[in-house]
Amino acid sequence: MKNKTNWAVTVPIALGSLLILFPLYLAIAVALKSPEELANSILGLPKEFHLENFMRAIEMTNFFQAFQNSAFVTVIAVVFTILTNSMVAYAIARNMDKTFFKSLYYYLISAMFIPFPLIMLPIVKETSALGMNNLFGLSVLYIVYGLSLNIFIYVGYIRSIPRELEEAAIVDGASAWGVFWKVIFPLLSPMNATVGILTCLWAWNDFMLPLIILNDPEMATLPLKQYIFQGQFSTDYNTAFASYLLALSPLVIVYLFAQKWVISGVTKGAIK
Amino acid sequence: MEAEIRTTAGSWGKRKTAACLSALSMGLGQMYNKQWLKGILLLILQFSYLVVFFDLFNIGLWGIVTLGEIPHEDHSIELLAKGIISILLIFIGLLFYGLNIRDAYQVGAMREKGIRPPGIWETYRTVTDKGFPYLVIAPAMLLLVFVVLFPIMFMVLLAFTNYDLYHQPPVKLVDWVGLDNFVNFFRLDMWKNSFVSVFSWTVVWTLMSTTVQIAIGLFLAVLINQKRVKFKKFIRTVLILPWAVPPFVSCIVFAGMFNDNFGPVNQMLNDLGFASIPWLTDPFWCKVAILLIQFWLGFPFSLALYTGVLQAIPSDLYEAAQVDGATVWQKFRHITLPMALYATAPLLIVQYAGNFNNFNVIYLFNKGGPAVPEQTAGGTDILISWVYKLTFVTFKYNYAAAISIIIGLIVTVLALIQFRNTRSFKEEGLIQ
Repeated sequence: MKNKTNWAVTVPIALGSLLILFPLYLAIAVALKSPEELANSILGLPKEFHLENFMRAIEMTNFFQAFQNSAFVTVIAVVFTILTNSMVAYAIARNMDKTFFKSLYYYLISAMFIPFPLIMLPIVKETSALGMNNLFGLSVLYIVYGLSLNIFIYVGYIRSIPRELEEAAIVDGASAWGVFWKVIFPLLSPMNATVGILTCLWAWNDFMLPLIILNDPEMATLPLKQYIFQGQFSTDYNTAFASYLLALSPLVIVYLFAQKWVISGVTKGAIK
Repeated sequence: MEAEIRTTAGSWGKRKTAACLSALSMGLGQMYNKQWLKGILLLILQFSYLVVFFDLFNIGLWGIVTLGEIPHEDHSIELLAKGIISILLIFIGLLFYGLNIRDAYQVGAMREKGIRPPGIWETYRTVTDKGFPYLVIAPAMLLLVFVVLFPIMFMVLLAFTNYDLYHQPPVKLVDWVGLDNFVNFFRLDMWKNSFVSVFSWTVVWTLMSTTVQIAIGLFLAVLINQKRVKFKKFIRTVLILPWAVPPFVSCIVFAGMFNDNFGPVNQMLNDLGFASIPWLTDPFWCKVAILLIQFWLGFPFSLALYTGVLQAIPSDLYEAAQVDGATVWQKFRHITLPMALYATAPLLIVQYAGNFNNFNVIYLFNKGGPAVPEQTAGGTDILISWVYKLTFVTFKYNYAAAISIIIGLIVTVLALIQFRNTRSFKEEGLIQ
């Protein structure tokens, strides 16, 4: 009895998993077929692999350029989000007894609920007026707009760190700056992981900010590139899906290799 | 001069003299307090502030009142922006001015007590050490002013102008029109109907998509967490996989799958003997399709989250319930559910907020369509995608602004109620 598998549960969820995989299977199958094959059957397995679909997609969308753009924005956003947001959160968390910091904290939390359309148009005008309608400006926006959620995640954690550690460092002659980088920041690594993962997913996948901020097609990030070419592919589904697959593969590969770490990173940050 | 004041020190005092001098001009009080370097620095700061910004204030304040007078020459929207920036800068300036008076007053008070005022080096040390939190948040505050506060002010003011396709500066001027936009909005059927249908769909969309995606995630997490389930790891990996797929790709793939004519979904329905469903052209079916897609996209995050939560629930709770003869349902209802929801309450709210602003899914699936006759919004447009269209497709900026304000007010009220009611948001216990 003890080692018997609980088939009543296993079978339904195994079938459920297949349902989840179905759209992905479809995307892969379409990407590998030739147009004639696709016309005959959409669902069937491809008879031979038409890898030229991928080559064509890479050429058409200038894939590597878009990949570089996305990578640039994501790396800048993640690195600077972790470095700056943790510091702001530290400043707030350790001064919650002061009205100023407490109200700042609540101001930031409520900013999470600001509907984005409210600030969409001015942001577009502002970034173009300041010459920030480029990849760098985009990264800055991710860093600032992520502040609300990240402060929320960091502050709760920092408050659970005992103050004695900092006091000991101050006695040893460390400045406030030194205390943060040498004592607090290393302790924040689980939170840094959570924030880093969430920021990475957001910056890499976001479609809206690039759509409204960037107006030079050379700078288009991966999602934006797919959108721009959606019209040009029109009926060429094979190339289109090959291109989508190329766009989704980097994160899926990262996820498959680092999933244990990613999942624990998210749960650790969310719950205590 | 100093000797004179010193004689009256008893009633008037150095602190008040210093404060008054600083009120006259930044830095004077500090010089009176013999903090020469600090005083000179403040004086220079004040004059450069005035010299640099005088022209901007002049044109900005005139501009925000008139919005320009000569077409082709005055750019109304730039003037509006300059006006807002002037007001913000004046506010920041006043803040520094106030701090300067306070500083003069405090140092003056120290001197009355016979304490030597701190030199510039000591001041520097205090600022970098005690003022560390302020130094750290200052850049963040400044950025927030420009990417959150300025845009909100701009949008609020825009709602009271006639800025649209026919009033595009610099060719035409934009004017203040008072409450006209709001009045038209509730008087003209086209706008009223659009607003009512978009708003109600936004509410339904936010509540349904989020609640169901959370429920599926929790349900699956509980199932997988059962004892004696095979392939646990593999199933979990597969189920969380959609989370790693960028939503823009999933949406475009789904748009292809639900294609009315040659999409596989309809083909399968046909094979099974059913008629094709107009997924993309009928508002109702389009909404159904979008909800299904969001369930697919949204549940993996909840699943990942609850997998962690469930493992953290102490097993003796279940053992005790077992002893008391609780059923599976009772265990779920009274142990799992409350523990799981309580631990993740803040994140649940974040998810609701996320779907409220979920532009990706709506816009990438069907661009908010299909079009609905006699309305300015498509059948599946939620507020964010509607405002996007009004702004960037049909250029009705003034209406977009008015709608944004109405949304903003509603969301603020809801958020306030929510904050008051959610236990886990109270005080510092934001994360349980």
